[in-house]
Formats: sequence, structure tokens, C-alpha cells
Amino acid sequence: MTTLRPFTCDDMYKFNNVNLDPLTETYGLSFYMRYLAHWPEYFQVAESPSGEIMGYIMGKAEGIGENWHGHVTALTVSPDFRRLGLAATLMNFLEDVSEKKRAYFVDLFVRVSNKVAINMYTNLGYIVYRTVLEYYSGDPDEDAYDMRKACSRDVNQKSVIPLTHPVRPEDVD
Amino acid sequence: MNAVTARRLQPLYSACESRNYKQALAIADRLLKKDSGLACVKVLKALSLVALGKEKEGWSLLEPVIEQPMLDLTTLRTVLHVLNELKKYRALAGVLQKNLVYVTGAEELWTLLFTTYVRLEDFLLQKQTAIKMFKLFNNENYYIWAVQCLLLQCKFDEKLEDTTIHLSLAERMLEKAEHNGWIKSEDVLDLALEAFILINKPLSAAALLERNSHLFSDDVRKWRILARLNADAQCWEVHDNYQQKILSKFPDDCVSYLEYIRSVFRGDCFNVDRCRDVWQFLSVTTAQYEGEKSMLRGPRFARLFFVFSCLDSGYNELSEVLDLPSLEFLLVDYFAKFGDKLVCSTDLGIILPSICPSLLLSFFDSLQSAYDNFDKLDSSSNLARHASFQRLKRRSGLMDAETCESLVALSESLLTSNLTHARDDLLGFSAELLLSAFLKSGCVKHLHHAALLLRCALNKSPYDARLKVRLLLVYNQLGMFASAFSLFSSLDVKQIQVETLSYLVDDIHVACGDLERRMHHFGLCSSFYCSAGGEIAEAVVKAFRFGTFSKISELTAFKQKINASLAKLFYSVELAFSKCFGATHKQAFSYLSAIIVLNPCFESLQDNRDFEILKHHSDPEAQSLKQQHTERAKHCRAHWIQHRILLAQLLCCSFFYEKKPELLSSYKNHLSFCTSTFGSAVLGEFDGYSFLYSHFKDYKPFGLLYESLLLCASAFFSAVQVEHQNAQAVSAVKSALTALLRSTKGCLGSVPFSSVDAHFFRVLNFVFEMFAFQSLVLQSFTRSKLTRKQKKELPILSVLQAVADHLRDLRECLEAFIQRISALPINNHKAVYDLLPEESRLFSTQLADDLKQNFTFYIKLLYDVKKNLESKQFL
Repeated sequence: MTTLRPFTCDDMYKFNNVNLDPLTETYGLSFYMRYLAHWPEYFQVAESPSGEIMGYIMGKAEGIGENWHGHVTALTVSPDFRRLGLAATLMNFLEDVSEKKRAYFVDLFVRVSNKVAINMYTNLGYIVYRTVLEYYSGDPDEDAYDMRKACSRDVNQKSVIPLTHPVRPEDVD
Repeated sequence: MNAVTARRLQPLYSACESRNYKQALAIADRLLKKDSGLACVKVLKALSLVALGKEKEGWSLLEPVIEQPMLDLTTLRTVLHVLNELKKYRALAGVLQKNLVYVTGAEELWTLLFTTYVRLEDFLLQKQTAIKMFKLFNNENYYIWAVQCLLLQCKFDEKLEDTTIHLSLAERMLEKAEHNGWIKSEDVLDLALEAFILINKPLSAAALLERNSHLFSDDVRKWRILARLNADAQCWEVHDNYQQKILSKFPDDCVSYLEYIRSVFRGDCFNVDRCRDVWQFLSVTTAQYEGEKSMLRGPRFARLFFVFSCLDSGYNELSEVLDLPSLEFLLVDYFAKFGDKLVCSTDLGIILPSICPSLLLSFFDSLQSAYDNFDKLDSSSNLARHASFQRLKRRSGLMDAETCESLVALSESLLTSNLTHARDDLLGFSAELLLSAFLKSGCVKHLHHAALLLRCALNKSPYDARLKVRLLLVYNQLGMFASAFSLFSSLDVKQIQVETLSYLVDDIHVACGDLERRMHHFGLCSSFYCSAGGEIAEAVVKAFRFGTFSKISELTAFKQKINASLAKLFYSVELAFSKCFGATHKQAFSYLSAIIVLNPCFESLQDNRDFEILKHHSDPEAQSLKQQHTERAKHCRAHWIQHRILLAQLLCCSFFYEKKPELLSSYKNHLSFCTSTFGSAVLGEFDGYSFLYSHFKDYKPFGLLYESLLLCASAFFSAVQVEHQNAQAVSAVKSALTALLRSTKGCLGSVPFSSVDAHFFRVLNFVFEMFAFQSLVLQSFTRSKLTRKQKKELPILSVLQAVADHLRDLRECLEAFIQRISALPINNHKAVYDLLPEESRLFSTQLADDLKQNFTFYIKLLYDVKKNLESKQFL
């Protein structure tokens, strides 16, 4: 039982149940503000009947020409509301927005160690397009998968033909 | 700029462009030696200084340049860049205003002026600039900006008393925009809708939306807005139509169900036929998803909520008319389907606390007896259902009556014999029950047991933040502060979370006397809030640029909340300080010198927005914090003054007792701060006088205030007498004295005669002490064996000069005051006393008597002062 609605500034006051999860980063205000001011339609929150934040998705539209695409910046669901298909609902929403914006594909980055997430994205139709070496900084740095799903505009699904070789973070546009 | 000058400047520009600022400085100095009047060189030097981190020097170099009536375009651009770097937005706006008269067609400069006003949050000037830009550049976007600014002004400008005219202007502007075809995007349409909603014309908004519906990319969003607008206009048929459209597309949308059902049972528009339609729609939707393997909770919950709302609104007879099932039946049915899910207790928790106690008991009885008829699940799911049942009882308040023993027994019933196999959520819930048992009995063993359970859960799920928070609270109760801190650190609290989660440890910092950690935390928080204000302003600028009008009001409101949070933070830190004053003087002194003085953040305590906290601050997280805020609203004025008084007294006492004049310069900022804030407190708070007395009959803030001022003054005199050759100490004293005299002057100038009481005369006394101080220093000067030249070089002279300047200023204030008093029958002091406000007479009988006896004496003293001033006996 969920309602999707645009994320608002005040949601930052009550997203601790989601953001205290160690795999969810709490960014600086300017980061959230940038998304709110530029791509508000890509920043959605799932709310429970009692007004709790169940999860949220942040994204943006970027690229030029055939690289015009939707990008998932963050997707997270509170531990209390997992296994309800919420992540899929949020991803569907973002894909719909990207379709309306006439994007060619939707992409996202995920840690190669995050098998649960990779599995979920695969079930949602995403493929590993390429590996980005040492994309996540840490001790040690960790590689990322750049996963993609083609939108209807990419009729020939050119955007999701996997690369055979890994790339460096600086090669990712 | 002529060709020769341009050629000479080229190396300087090159050095700046290549960011070789040291070289740029050297070149600039060389050029300035040849021609000291070159404004562009000064500006580039200022730019280099700012880039090298010497902001103060850069600013002092820039200040005279920006005073010039006109700058060439290149210099102007550099000036604007430097001012932007320095975040001197007020000055930047001033320079632009002056120079845009001469520069035509510079659209980017006009845009910069507009965005500067956005950063300054000056809605009126934003609006005026946008209109000018629209006229100059004939770009309709600026026209839309102006409308947005108009709305911001109506919503956030507290000085604007009547918004009607402004809103009707916004309406006309939007009509023109639509007529001219300027409403071209969803964002602009959003703005127009916001305006109509503010004007309270929902149907006009709906009509506008219908006319421009092609602009909406998302149908569901459009339906939601139309549903709300029609609800505002009470057009229920249309409203229901849109709600049903939304729910047909999203049958699990809880908020839409709740809104829809609540609208049906509104007292002012209740209609049985409408109820029947809604119930039918809900039943059909439920049936539609009944057969699916994974059943949706939404439609079932909606039926439940419908029946609940029907009873809750008092329409009991409707149950028969519509043949509604009983609420109890629906509740049991919902629990049977979803009882093993964690969300069940959250869902039903919306309804259960509001239903009548008899029905509640009956529900739990039915649930208990229906247990055997529920589908048999595996043992883990059965246990989860049992936990849900207990959670619901807890949420409904039924556990309040449970004894400590039964709570412990219940806690045990949720756990398996081997804790390592127990589920985390059950361990957590079990620990909560033990906490309740502790609160009932005060028996610490329950707390220890709860901590054990939570640690066990954390061993299995080391990253579960909710378990950590629960354990942290248990540690706090047990006084295990070190463990609590280490758990808090592992939560990695940062950014906006410092506001929403700091309360977990704030009080412990003070309780265990760990002020260093408290100050460290304060530093983190204050730097976050200070930078947040600027970041939000930048986001507003971006929203204007991208045309995201739907977010501008939201961001502006958020900025106000962040400002309020900053003030709240100052308040809580001061509260922590004042709690320490209960400690011994020595402790307080070491704390003061080790923490406050060394922490630069403390300087930013020069903020008196404490009073505004409650106006804008909506508490993010806990109800208990909300209550604290409400309490603070009541007492914050008195607290605010009290804290500062305590702080100043501590500073002075420290100086007296420790006899360390070298500390004086490090106290300089704090003394100045204290005295200047006292000044503003006196100026601003005389209106709150009666408020204070009505709330704090035994509290004498103004008495304390002036005592502190006098104490400060004594400390300074003593310092100057001991250290009058120490330039650093003298400079500290000078600045503190300036602040003191300024506040006294403000006090003399602003106090209405009706507010005159014994304390006011204390201020006068202070002025006399100043005169006495001057005489004293002058005498010691005359008697000293120093030569005339040596005397002139003494730093104390500058202090005397400053005092003399202020005393001259005070003269006018005193004279005006004496004139007012002269008009009164001074021979009959009782008559004058009777003119005093009642609260000051009630203030203290002793003081009132004192006042009566001494009034004539004070008047005489005033005349003496006047005479002294006239004879120019002082410097």
C-alpha cells in the first residue's frame, strides 16, 4: 500500500529510517537541492499510509544525441518495507519518466559485490553493459557494473549491446 | 581604457588567468607605484588577495573602488567576480544598480542582479528587477519570474500586511501571460495554479489546467491536481471521477484512498448516494484483486477505512442503509490476511487508536478466538502474527494496563529458547517491552536484559540502525555513555541528520560533562547550517534558471526552517553552557578558557533569532522535541537574556579571580559580543517587559543585565589600570567599552518614559561611573612622570578618545531625556512615581521604595551631568 509522490525538502527531515542503512549514502544538501531544482520529476518518494518514507529514487536525464538517457542516481528502500516490490515500482516510475522524455535508455551503476541489487535489476530487464574499474572509492576501491535497459526509442537496442572490455571512471561520460 | 594602459595591464591579466596570484600581486604593486589611481589594477590585486585567502585585505582594497560612481565594463566584471567570491551580495547589488544605468544591453549583468536579490531573499527587488528585465529584453521568461517573485512576496514577506492587491496583480499578470501564449510548460502552468490556489479560486485553476492540459506529461499527476481543486470547490462528482481514475490505475495508492474516503464523510457535504457510489467502487476494486496470488492491501484497507470513517463521523445508520460489514469483521479479516507481515501493525495502527474502547476490546477478543481458524502458517510466520498482535495491542494503548510481570512474560513469549535463532524484529520488540517494564517498575535488571537482547540482535545484523538506536537509548538509561557514544559514531550521522538525530546524544554530552565533545558536535552542526543556507539559495537560483517554479516556494520555506534550526542549535548550546555554571567556578573557568574561547564557532553566537525559532521550526522527528520547542517558545526570551548574563558574569569573574590580564585579549570577542547583545536585548526587549514579569515573577532579568554590565565595566577598569601599557589589552578594552557605551546610549535613546524604573537609573549610574573613570585616568596621567610625548604614545589614550566620543553622543540622549523629565513636576516625586507603569512598581517593593526615595536625587544628578557636559570638562 504505497503512494508515489515527488520528493520534497521536508522529506529530508524524516528519511532516517531509509538512510541509516549502511549502503545508503546521506549526501550534502547541495546534492539533493540540485536534483530537486533540476530534475524534480526524477526524484520520487514512496509513502506509507502513516506518512512514513518507505523508499525513494533519485535520477536525472542527460546525454546528447543517441546518448540521451535517464540515469538512476540512488534507489533505496527502508528495511521495514522490503520484499514488497517497492524498488520495482520506483524503477518503473523512473523508466516511464524517461520514456516520456524520449530517452534512448536508462542506466545505473551498482557495486559488483551487491549481488542482491544486480539480481533485482536483471529481473527488471537490465543487462550489464560494461564494467567500470575502481568506480567506488574505498579501501580497496571497488568496480561497478554499468547496467542498462533500452527504452522504446532505441528500436534496434543499440544502447544495450555490451562492451567487451572494461573502462576507467574517467571514460564514463 | 586606452591602448597603452591595456598593454601595461596585459601581464597582470595573464598572471590572474593562469592563477599565478603571487606573481599577479607583484605586478599589481609595481603598476600601482607608477599610477596609484588605476581602479582595474586595484581590483585585480583584490582578486589575487582573495584567491590567496587574504579576504579582509582584498575587501579593504575593493571598498573604495566600488564607491566610484562608474566603472568600465572589464573592471566591473572583475569587481562582481570578487564580490561574489567574498559573498558580499549587498555590495554586489549596490555596484550593479549603480553601473547598470550606464551599461546597456548587458543581459547577463541584469540576470546577476536578479540572482543576487534571490540570494539576499529580497522578493520585492527581485520582482522589480524581473519586470525591468522583461521590458529591456522582451523575454517573457522574465515576466514569469516576476509573477513568481510576487507570489514569494505574498507567502514569505512578513512585512507585507495585505496580500490581496498583490495576488490580484498576479492573477492579472497570469491572464496576460495566457493570452499571449507564454504558458508554454508544465512548470509555468504549476506556477499559475499555485497563484490561483493562493487567491482561493480553485475552479479558475481547474479551468486553466483543462485549457492547457496538453502541457502535462503525466496524466495521473494532472488527475491528482484536478481532484484536489474540485474538492476545494466542493464539486464532488468531478472530484470522485478523478479519484476513481487514479485508483483504477494505482489500486494500491493509500493516500488517494484516504483522501477520497475522508472527503466523503466531511460534515458539510455528506450525501448518502455518494457514499453508496464510493462503497460500490471500493467493493468492485477489492473483488477485482481478490483472486490474485499476491493480494493488494490497498482496496481491503480502503473498505476498512470506509467503515471506520463512517462510524467515526457518527453516521452509524449508514451501515444499515448500505449493508456494510462490521468494522470488527473487517479488522479480523485484514489481520487474517496480512497479520504475519510487519506492515500489518503499521496499517491497522492508523485506525485502532481512534476506535472506541469497547469495540477495541471486542476486536482483540475476536482476534484471539479467531486465531485457531486462521490459515495455518509455518512456525516463523505464526510467531510473526503473534508479534503483530502484540504490537497492535501496544499501539492501541492496551498494554498500558499490563503489569511489569506480564510485560516480561510477553517479552519472553516472543523469543525462542535459543536467542541466536530469534528474529531481529522480535528481539527488538521484546527489548521494547522490557523497556516498558523498566519504566513501570524502575527495575534496572530489565534494562540489562533489554541491552542483552539488542546486542544479540546486533550481532546477527550489525548494520541495523534501528537496533542501534534502541540500544543507544538503553545505554543512556543505564548511564553507559561511552558505549552510547561509540554506537552513535557507528551510525555515521552527517549533514541534515545532525538535526534529526543529534538529540540522541546532546543531553548526554552535558550530563557527563563532556563539553569538549559537545563543542565539537556544535562545530559540525553550525558549519552545516551556515553552509546550508547558501546552498539552498543557490538551488533557488538554479530553479529560476531551469524554470522549476514548483520548487521555488518549497526551497524558500526550507531555507527558513534551516535558519530556525541554526537558531535552535545556538539555543541548545547556550543551554548546555548555562547548565555548567552550576559547577564550581574553577571548573567553569577551565571549561571557558579551554573550549569557548578557542572555538571560533562561538563567535557566530551573535545571533538573536532565538525568538523566531518557534515561528518557523516544525520539528522533524520526535513529539517530545516538539513539546520542548513549545516550552522554549514560552521561556526563550527570558532564557536568552539569562544565558548571556551568566556568560558575561562568568567572563568577568574569571578575569577577577584568575588575575590573568593576558587572557583579556582572547576574551575581547566574547566581551564585545556579550555587551552588544545585551544592548540589543535592552533595545528590543522592553516590549517584552510585561511578558517577562508575568511569566517570571521572581526573575529579574533586567536587574541581572545591568549588574552584569556594571561588573563588565569594573572588570575593564581594573584591566586598564593594571595593563594600561599593554596595547593588546587596551585594544580589547576599547572594543568592549565601545560596545558597552553603545548599548547604554541605545538604552538612553530608546527607553520610553513609561518604562523608566530603578534599573534605568542604574544605567545612568553607569554613565556617571564612566565619567568618574575618565577623571581617574586623567588624574593618574597628570601625576605620572612621563613626558608629554610618551603620554601621547600610550595606548590608553585611544581608549579615552573612544569613551569621550561616545560620551559626546550620550549628551544628546541625556539632554532629550532631561527635557522630558523637566516637563514633569519634579518637586512632587510621588506624582512622577505614579506615572510609572504598574509592573515596574510591582517589580519589587524594596526597589520601588528605593526609587521613591532617590528619585529627586537622580534628577539632581542628571542636571549635574548636563552641567558637566556643557562645561566640556572632559576631553
